[in-house]
Amino acid sequence: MRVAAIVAIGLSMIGSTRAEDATRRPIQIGPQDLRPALQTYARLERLHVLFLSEDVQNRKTEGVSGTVTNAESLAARHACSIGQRRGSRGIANIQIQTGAGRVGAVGAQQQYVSRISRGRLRAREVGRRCLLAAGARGDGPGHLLGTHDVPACICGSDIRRMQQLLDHTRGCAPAGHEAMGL
Amino acid sequence: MVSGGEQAVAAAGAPTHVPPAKVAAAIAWTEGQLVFDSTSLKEVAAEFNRVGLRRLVLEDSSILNLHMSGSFPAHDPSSLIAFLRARLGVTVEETNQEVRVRRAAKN
Repeated sequence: MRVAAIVAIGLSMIGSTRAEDATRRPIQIGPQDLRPALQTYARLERLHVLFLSEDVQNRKTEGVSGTVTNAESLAARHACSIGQRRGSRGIANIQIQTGAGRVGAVGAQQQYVSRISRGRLRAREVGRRCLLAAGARGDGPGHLLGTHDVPACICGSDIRRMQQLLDHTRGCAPAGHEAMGL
Repeated sequence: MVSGGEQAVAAAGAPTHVPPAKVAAAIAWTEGQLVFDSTSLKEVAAEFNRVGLRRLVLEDSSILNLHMSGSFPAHDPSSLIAFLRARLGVTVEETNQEVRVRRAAKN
């Protein structure tokens, strides 16, 4: 019962921001070195992204294309499960169960969906309007661009949007999956 | 000849170099942002101290030559501090006057 209730909260969070999502812009980042790609990503999404150049040295990305709106729409259709709970010290722990493989998509959505992998995102809210994605494989914006293990600090004006961007570019569980760690 | 989008770098005993200007980084401070492109942490601290309200003091010499890319708000270094803590495992002490980064004590 407790798990079901928390999952419902996660889904309602998705629904509550869907109107905002409709205004999001498409992302088009071509194949290139990861460092400029991350900088382009930050500029396009109006985020502050910090990373060590040494971490991305000699790494390349295949790029990414599509729109967040489509990805989120896709996620909603497949009942992406996101659990969120607030820690005792005001830290938001976000744990996501991602699916394995495609869940069905066409066009611009496909590149997002094809990147679905098993993994867990742990992002901590730090300071004002900042997310710190660090630790596990697949964290950070490097994952969006197809490269793992790039810890980064991501900041922006809308923390909910950042969470969703991070969440949905990691893929979503097919219907029936429950959020993990709850 | 220096054209738009270029910058000239002149040094004694060396030919003048005209690389592309990092315009976005150069004007970012006008929007309250600090932008870095493979900049050493030593230089990051210097730039932070030039425009920030608090001083950033890097006491751990082992991190000075690491290079950082990205941006953060000049008035709000919380993301930088969080990143340093998480990525470099350093100890960060904050006061109203300064942000002091030390090598983390070993247990």
